[in-house]
Amino acid sequence: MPCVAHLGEVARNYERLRAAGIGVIAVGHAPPAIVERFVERERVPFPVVTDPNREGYKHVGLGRVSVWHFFRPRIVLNFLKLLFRGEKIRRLTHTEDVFQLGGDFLIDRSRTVLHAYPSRDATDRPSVEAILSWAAG
Amino acid sequence: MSEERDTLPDFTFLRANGVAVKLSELIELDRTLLLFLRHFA
Repeated sequence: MPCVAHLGEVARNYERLRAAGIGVIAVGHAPPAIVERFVERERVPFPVVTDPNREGYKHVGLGRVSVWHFFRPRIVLNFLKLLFRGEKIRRLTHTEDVFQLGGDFLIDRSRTVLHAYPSRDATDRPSVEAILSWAAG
Repeated sequence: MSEERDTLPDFTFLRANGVAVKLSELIELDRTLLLFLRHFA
C-alpha cells in the first residue's frame, strides 16, 4: 500500500516532474500478468515494467525485511495514516514478496545514478518535492 | 551499490505484455526517476 500510494503521488505530479525534465519508470518484480492487472487498475501515465529476477533491486542494494519489521510502532502508525487518508489495502497475490523493499533513484540518460533513495522501511518514500530538489541540485 | 554515482547496467525488464525492454529504451528525458516498487498491491 505505501508504495502504491507513492506511485499515485508521483502520477498526480507527473506533469510537474516532466516540466522539470524528469521522466518516470516504475519497476516491480511480479510476473507480467500482475503488472498488466495493475496497469489496467491504476492507469499511471508512465511505463510500468517488471524485474522478475530482481537484478535491478539487487544492484541498487534493495534488500528484504523480516515479518517483525511490520510490527514496529512507526510502521504500524504510517500504515494507519495511509488508511485514514483513504488508501486501500489490496490482496497480495502469492507471487508477490511483501518483504522486498523499494526505493527511488534519479538517473541520467547514461544511467548514472544522480541520487539514490533506498527505502529504510516499508513505508519510507521521498516526497515529490524532494525528488524535484534532487533534479534541481 | 557501492557509491551514489554508480552507473546502472542496461537492465532488461518485462513490460506488462511480457515483452522484454531495455532500461535505455525507456529513458526519454535527461533525468529519469526509477521507482522500484515493493509490490503491486
